[in-house]
Amino acid sequence: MSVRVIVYLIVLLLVSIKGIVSYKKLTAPFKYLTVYILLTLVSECISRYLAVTIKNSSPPYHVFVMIEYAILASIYKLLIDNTSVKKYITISIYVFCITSILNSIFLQKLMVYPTNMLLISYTLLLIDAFILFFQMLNHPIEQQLSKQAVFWFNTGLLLFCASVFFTIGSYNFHIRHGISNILINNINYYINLLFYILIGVAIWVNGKRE
Amino acid sequence: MDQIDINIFIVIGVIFSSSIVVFFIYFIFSYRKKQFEYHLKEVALTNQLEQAIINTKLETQEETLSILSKELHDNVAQLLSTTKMLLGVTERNLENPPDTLIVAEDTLSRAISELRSLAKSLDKDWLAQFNCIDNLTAEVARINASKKLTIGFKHPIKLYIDADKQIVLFRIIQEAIQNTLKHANANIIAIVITENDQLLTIAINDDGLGFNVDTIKKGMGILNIEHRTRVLGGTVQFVSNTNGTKIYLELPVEGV
Repeated sequence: MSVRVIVYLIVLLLVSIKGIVSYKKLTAPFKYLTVYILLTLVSECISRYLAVTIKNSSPPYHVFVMIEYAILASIYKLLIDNTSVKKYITISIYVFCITSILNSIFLQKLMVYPTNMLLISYTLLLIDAFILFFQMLNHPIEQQLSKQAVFWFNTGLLLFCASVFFTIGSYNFHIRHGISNILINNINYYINLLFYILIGVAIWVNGKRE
Repeated sequence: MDQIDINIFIVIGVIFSSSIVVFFIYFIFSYRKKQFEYHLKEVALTNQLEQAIINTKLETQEETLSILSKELHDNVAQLLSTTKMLLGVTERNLENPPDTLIVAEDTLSRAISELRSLAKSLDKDWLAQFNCIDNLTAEVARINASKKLTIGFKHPIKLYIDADKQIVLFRIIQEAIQNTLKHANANIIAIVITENDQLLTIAINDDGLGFNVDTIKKGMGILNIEHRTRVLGGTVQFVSNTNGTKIYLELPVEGV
């Protein structure tokens, strides 16, 4: 295992531990977030293991993409006040899971990385992130932004979704043009790290509140 | 063709990352601006609410004082008058009425007179008809007549503020005098009112025992003075030591 992977897994592990330690103090959305981080850690461990044993890390992502969307969308459902948006999120979770299963059966089979579903998932989450940011703008609270866990979570997710959305798009472009993916892989790696660090900050800030 | 594609890819990447940066800058600045506006709104609402609560409290207090005044005038004063009348009848029926009876009747007459003027000074309707200066002059005369202490009162001929506000101001000064009477063991109180185009200042000084402004537990008296001053949009300062207490009020004339 490379140093990069170890660093990545350590970050995930630390954030998971922080989430578990402060679990009782966390509000509902951040409890979900802790579960999400734990599952990410498990999924990443399995995919690394499969990458070594069968030389393909894609299978766990077919399941994880559904779990990830369901959890992150549920967090937005809790954070967004608008009832119509809440309904849209609930429906989107079911539709997304069904589409994801169909994608795994017919389009991108188990041994193929499910980029279609990731693109859909991050697009939907990107919309949720923007809705939450505008909700925050319309209903500001007196607390500093840096002390708001929601801000850190949403910032992390917006950066992550937007960047991954872009990198997956460019990944396909690079393959088509036979260009090396090193740069894209690097960007992806650091964006992932940044995302999990920001989630760690969100959990830490939420656990610290009075 | 490939080079063009790569250039397009780079341009899209730069536009994309710049958009995110711009969005975050926009978000943070807008949020701070809205947060500030929200804070101002909240402060204004809190002040409004506090003002409404204070006004209600004052109205209730005025109402209670008014009822008390009527009660004193119509009930207690009548009972005392009847007692005085009976004492007069007894005095006339006796050939040699004792001196104590004559002194008692005289004391009772003074008590009735004091009670009537006190009832008058508590009555809101009565207060509304007169200005603060007239009422204070009467109040000062009443207290000076009791010889508990001496009050010096310096004032302009007339105050150019609404009658409602004059009642509140009268109550502030009345409260300050009552505090001195109750707690200060003072011999002299000096009240000085000055007025110019923008500011009405009231200084109430006594030569009493004083109190520690920082450590004293604020009683109803001091709190009432503070609340009422806030209702008038003014400020109040208490300066006190073993040589006495100074209460200094500043009220905006336009805002009053």
